[in-house]
Amino acid sequence: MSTDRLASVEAVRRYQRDWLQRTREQVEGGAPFVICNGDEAEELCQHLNIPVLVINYWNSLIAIQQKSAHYRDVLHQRGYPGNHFFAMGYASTLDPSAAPWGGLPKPSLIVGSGRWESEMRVTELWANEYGCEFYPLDFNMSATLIDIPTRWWERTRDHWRELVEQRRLAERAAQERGLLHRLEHISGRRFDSDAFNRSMDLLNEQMDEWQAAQSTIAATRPCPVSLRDQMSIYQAMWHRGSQDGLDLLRAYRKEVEARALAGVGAAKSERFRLFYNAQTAPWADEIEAKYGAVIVACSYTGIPALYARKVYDGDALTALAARHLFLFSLNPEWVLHNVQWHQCDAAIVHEAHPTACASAEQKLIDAVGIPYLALAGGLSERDEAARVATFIEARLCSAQRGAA
Amino acid sequence: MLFAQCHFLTERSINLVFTEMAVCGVLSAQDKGQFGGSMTDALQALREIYSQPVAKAAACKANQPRTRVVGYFCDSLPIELVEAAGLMPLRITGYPAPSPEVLEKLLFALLPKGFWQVRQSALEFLNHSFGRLVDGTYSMLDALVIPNTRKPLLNMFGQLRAAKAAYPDLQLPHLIVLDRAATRVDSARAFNRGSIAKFRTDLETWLGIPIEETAIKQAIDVRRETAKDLRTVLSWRHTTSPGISGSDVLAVIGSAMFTPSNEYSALIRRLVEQGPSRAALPQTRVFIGGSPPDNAALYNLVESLGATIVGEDHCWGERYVDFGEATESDSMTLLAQRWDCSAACGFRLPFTATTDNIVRRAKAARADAVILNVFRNDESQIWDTPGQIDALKAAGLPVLHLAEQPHVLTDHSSASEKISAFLRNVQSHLAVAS
Repeated sequence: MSTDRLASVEAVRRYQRDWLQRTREQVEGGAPFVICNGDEAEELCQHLNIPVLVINYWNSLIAIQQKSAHYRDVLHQRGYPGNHFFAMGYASTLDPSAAPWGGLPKPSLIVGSGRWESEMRVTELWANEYGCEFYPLDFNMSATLIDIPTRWWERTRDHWRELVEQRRLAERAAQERGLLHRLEHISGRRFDSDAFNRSMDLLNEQMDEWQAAQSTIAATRPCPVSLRDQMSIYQAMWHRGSQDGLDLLRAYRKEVEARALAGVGAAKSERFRLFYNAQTAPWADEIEAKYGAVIVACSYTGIPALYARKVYDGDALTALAARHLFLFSLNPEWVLHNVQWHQCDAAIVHEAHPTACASAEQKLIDAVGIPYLALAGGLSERDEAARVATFIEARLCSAQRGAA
Repeated sequence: MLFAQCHFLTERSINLVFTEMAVCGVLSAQDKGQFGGSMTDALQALREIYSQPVAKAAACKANQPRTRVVGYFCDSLPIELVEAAGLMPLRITGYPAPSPEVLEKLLFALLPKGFWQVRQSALEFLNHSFGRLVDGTYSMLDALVIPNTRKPLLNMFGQLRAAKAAYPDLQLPHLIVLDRAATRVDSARAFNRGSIAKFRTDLETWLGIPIEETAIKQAIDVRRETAKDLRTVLSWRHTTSPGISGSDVLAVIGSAMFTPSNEYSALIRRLVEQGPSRAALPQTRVFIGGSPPDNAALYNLVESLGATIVGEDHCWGERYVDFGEATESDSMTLLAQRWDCSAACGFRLPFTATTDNIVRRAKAARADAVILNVFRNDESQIWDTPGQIDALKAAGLPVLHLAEQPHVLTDHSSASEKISAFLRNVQSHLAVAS
């Protein structure tokens, strides 16, 4: 795999490091800050200039520092059995000695996530541990109570009302307004509706840039951006709705287009394009070197553009609340869309429960003649790599030889 | 319309109820002949119903095809609205477990893949309920109410629709969602009240007829009377020498969810009239908490090891009579208040509400010890349990935490060993104390 990284991606990473350093200093200096789950309340905090720590970012930091096992033990010792990625941050507060940054200072408020019962309870226990305010919100990204239309991803921006249940939307918007009042109190700043609407416009522009870049990636052979860089650019998400965020994405889009025009590929050789439904494949380098099989897309590559929401009647808060209720679905049609959009020669999908019958994804992808490999959960890295290699040999290499 | 008659009669003779049960095929002629007046007979009928949760509804549907059966989950559902509409409510269980092939084909193969697939299929007892809904066990259902009391349960709404989309020949009932907000702000409470009004409208739209206020009030009155009798039965376990076993209480309460309310109230009245058991039950008093047991395996095991279960905090037990404490006189307001205030599958905000609740119940039951049986991946319970243990111990109650348990108790020897050791310890402490 090429080790070159896009300059615009490096710029985002640098910007993010600087921003985190500034935020950390602010927080350690006693500035109020908020902890919340991703896609729950970041825009509200950012609008009031309150630093916000996104839980899964913090949990990922713990994982990257290879402290997950330690914090799993901390949770087990406290009587919480199982493996709970979401609770790593809470565990780091129970035992701050091993935590990133030497542990977090006390937040002003923790937002309770309505995404899952455990997330609601973990955030509540976390707030109790700090002795800070707990502000729960209902319904975040929970099960949809309506029939999602086909090609729903074409309707998230302008027709978002069709994708959410109206009573839930009204209640979620009311609860977010309540949270906003609390945040105004904490920050000593006032919500500015016009400024917030402008920030939503910036966010939409930012997502347009992202979509344009992704469309270029999807349409260009060889693929101009590695999956690693496609995932790294996600850090610009932290700055959605800001001019800086827009500038970072604009630079990315321009660089992607320039590489596509120049025929610069992310991989040394690209014979086969793969869709893979997780973020990092431990066998990616091996299959690229051996077969020229390159992962060009995953379940998350198409998601950033789905953050865009058209604001109606100047009510950006309701548009945002609707996005918090429905951001995306990982249904089989979405998988097929990404496979076809990125011109993939095959799809490799983790299926946690191996079944004797074909999954919905497999049936759909088989039906359009694209080879599909279901990877059962619980396989070792070695076994997984072997299955992928066998699959590429049997379904891609031999087909290519046959065609020749 | 056997059950429609049941709903709108406030007075029935016991004999007529038993005759109807025989007509429905729930009781054999021999059973019917047994209802001569001993307590064992009433209790035996309730045990019988509990042991075959779907038999009664299936038999009635077979004998009276116009009977409409509405399946539901959770003890906090306002089933009075279902009864007031002339429908037979039937609570869904996941026991016994369906075949793995059914789950593979109709659940696991159709879930969104990756992390989401794991998350949405981790809770065994709900997977089993899903399996039984699609394997024909509940083919007598005309409608199914899915309440938002657990996220994995609410997800079942989408999972059932996905199964139907993939296999159009699959027979599924009409689906109705009863939504709920967990937070405790005013707007969330109003949302929950609105959910009850919407539930009524959804039922009316499906049926094509309005549900009359008088019928709702009547259904509430019947349940209130039943709850009064049930409290009498529950009081038998609170005496120094328990007058009823935990397994029997589980059967008595559980059968309420498998039987039309008027019919059930006649049975429970009969049970009350006949009084508690005179048989000596073990004196070690155990309280059960944790995940919802939709079968008697745990109770049977604990009681076979020399204890009597005298109380519980889960949705198949004495929580069923909680609603009787509500004071609202307006029917819909009362039902909405109950929906808003009751624990959603044990989950309440704030956290202290769940700990306070279990301690209060265990103390009221005069328990000597508590067993918390928590299913693996039960994310409603996993995070509550350590705090509950702390609170119970602070109240002077020893606690056994059975963590990561399967839905259906399979390893009797391992659980049995742990429970035996725990009970021996409790008994020796009690002996020293006395």
